[in-house]
Amino acid sequence: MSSIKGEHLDVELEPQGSAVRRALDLVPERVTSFILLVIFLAGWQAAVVVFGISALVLPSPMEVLDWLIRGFTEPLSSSASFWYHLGVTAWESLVGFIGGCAVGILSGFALAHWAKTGRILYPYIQAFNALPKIAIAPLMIVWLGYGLSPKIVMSAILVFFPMLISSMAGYHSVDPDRIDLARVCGASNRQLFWKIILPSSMPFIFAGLHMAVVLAMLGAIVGEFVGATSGLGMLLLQYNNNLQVGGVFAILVVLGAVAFCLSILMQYAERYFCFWSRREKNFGGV
Amino acid sequence: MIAVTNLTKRYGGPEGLLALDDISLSVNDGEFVSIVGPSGCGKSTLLKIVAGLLRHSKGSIALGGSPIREPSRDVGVVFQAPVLLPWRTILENVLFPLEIRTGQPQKYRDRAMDLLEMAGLRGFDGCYPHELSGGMQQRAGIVRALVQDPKVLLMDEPFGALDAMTREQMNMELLRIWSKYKKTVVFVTHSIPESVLLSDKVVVMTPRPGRIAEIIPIDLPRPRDLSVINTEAFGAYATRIRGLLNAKEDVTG
Repeated sequence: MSSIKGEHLDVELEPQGSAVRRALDLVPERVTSFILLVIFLAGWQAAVVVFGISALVLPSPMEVLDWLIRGFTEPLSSSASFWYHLGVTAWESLVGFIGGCAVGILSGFALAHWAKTGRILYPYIQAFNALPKIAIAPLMIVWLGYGLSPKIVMSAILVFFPMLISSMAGYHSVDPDRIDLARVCGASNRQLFWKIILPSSMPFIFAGLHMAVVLAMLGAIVGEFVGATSGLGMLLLQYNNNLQVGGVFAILVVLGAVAFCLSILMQYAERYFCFWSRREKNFGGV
Repeated sequence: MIAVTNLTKRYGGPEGLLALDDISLSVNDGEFVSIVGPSGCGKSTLLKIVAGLLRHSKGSIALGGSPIREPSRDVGVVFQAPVLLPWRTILENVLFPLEIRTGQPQKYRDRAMDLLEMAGLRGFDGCYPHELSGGMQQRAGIVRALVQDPKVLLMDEPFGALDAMTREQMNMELLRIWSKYKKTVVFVTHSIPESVLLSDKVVVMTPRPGRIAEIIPIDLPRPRDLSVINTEAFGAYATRIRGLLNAKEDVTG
């Protein structure tokens, strides 16, 4: 591994500008991205060793890797098993995500459809949305205890707002001609919703979903921070308090990897369900 | 087929904008009628009332003897933009009206395929709208309006967004379709030559409020092709219509 990297480094350091550039152009961008990561990790490892940085401040990548391996090879029943805590956090996020999305999308469409009610309620929605919602996490513990439910509720609340706003925007974005078309064909309100409004809104809903998938995990982690007996957030806080910084980094890596996979998954879902929209509007953001 | 008597449309309350003022017009069975006029003359409003999308304020409007209160299966509408649903294939788009009305679009698949072939869209039934050119998309829009076999075809500046050459080609195709299926057509346009080329009767409207200036029968031999544009009679009709439209402009401003 390191020898391959060394060769690439040699090539890049050679001062023959155009030849190097041409060689670089031949390398796919993804490979270049990966090489950058390897260089970064190698530099980090070298810095920790050379400057003798204490593991209490900054653990080396190798130590973090060691933590990761240990965490994932612990038996499931162990309180140090990453699999177990990841499962708990994933479950809280998933339920919160689904709940927040369902309520958010339904309310968004309802408020957009019954415009008068929407206008009456909108200032309060805006005010609540402006509130740093993480601040209500401690209250959730008081109301719902230390179980999974306060984390699920936190996650759902964070997911709710982008879904509400994006589905409202989606509803309002529907081309009036499409509505006329459905009306001319004699569509009922139900047909109008399922065959015109919902599909037309999908690009907007996906814009919300891209945010929601990140916020769902954020909500679960914050919920675990304020009081929990399991979950990656709880474990991270525990390692932090014990000054086991390597463990903290290992969990950060796990959280990052999961969030990254989810956002890729969401991109594929968007490509599948909204294959038509990127030609119309440049949506999706990635 | 369509009888419009003293029709008035006012948007908003009794003091609202007067869009149509005392319109009377009759369209016979199988007739091709164009409505021509500058923007703001209410021609699209009139079309929407015939389509059952808008309610009128005063007067009466009837289709085949019965008053128009809501969209009818006997009326097909072609919009200014093709308004194809981008997540549906061309065939699914064309079957949309029957899917809504009958819930069993697959029963009409053969008819839709025949119409697509007639419109020169053979082999494109499985494509998505973005894969087609603007002219082809609009042809799919016309097929969609024809698929439920309506008696009346309402067209709201259907070729306005097309380039001049495609537009002439589409005009000829429309005449071919019209003579083949014997539909009653109400065609809204702001192009004077287009209205003369296509119609049996041109309704010239003037704006603010929308009124009919004159209804001009077009007595040119059918079938027509593009060469008719160069004839003296065609020029005379066009000049007369332009005169009617300009007269109003002079008065107002």
